[in-house]
Amino acid sequence: MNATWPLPQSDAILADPETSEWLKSALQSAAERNPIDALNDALVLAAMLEERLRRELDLR
Amino acid sequence: MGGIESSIDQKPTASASRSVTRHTRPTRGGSLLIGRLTEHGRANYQFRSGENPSYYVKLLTSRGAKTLWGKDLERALTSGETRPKVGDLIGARRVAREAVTVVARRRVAGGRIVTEEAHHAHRTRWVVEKVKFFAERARLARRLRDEQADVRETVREHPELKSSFLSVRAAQEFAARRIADPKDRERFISLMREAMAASIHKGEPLPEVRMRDPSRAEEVTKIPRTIRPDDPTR
Repeated sequence: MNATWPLPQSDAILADPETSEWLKSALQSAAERNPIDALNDALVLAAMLEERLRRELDLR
Repeated sequence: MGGIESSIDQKPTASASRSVTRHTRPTRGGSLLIGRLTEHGRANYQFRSGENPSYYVKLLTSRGAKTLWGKDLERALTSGETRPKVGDLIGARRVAREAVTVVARRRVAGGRIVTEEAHHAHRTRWVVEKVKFFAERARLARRLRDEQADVRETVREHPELKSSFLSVRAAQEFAARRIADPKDRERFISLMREAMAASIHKGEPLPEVRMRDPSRAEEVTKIPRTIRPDDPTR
C-alpha cells in the first residue's frame, strides 16, 4: 500500500472551495512579497503555530 | 519547504535470518513528531535497491520534510485508533524498542548448516495517529494524575480509564499492606500513578479491564511463572 499527497499549485489551492479563507488570504499576500522573505516568514509562522498547538493541547 | 528532507530511521535486520528471542522494553518516550502526512508505503530501506524491505512515512513538518523508516510503521498506521490518511495532521512517536536476536545461518548444498551467527538488533515500536488522538490522551493523563479527582465521576466520563484507576487502587492496597513508612508508601503510589499517566500520554495502548473467573483462580495460581533473563534477581 502506497499513498501520496502531491503538493498542489497555489492556483489550485485558491480555487479549492475546501481551502480556508485564512490560507487563501495568506497565499495572495505572500505572492506580492519577495519569495525569500515570504518563505522565511512562513517557516517562522509554521514553527510558532506548532509551538502553540503543542502548548494548548499539551503535546510533548 | 520541499527541497530539504531529513530522515529518521531504523535500519531493518536481514530478512533471511530467523529471530529467536524478543524482549520489548518501553523507551523513555521519544518526542512527538507532528506534521502533515504526505506519503507512506512499502519500499526498500532508504529507497536503495540493495537494502531490505521496510516501510516509510513522509511528513511535512514546520521544519521541513521528514521521512521516517521502520517496519512497524505500517502496523502503526493501519491498525491504530484513528488510522490517518494522507493529508491529515498526525503525530508519530517511538514508544518501545524490541530487542531481537537474529540468527544468521549459512548452509551448504544439501542443507547442512556450516555457520551460525547471532546478531542483536532492535525493532522500534511506533504510535502514529491523528493529532487529536494525542490531545485526548494528554487530557486522560491529566485526569489520572489528578489525585483530587472524583474517581467514580471520572470513570463514568471516561470508561477507558477504568483499568488504570483499578491499577492505582491495587497499588494503594499493596502499599497499605506492604510498605510501613508513610512517605515511602506515598512515593510508591505517586510513582505508579505517574508511570501510568506517562504511558497514556505517550499514546501507548490503554490497559484493558480483565475480569477474573473465580473458578479458575486456583488453577491460575498453580501455573509456574517463566523467569525471564531481564527479571530482577530479587
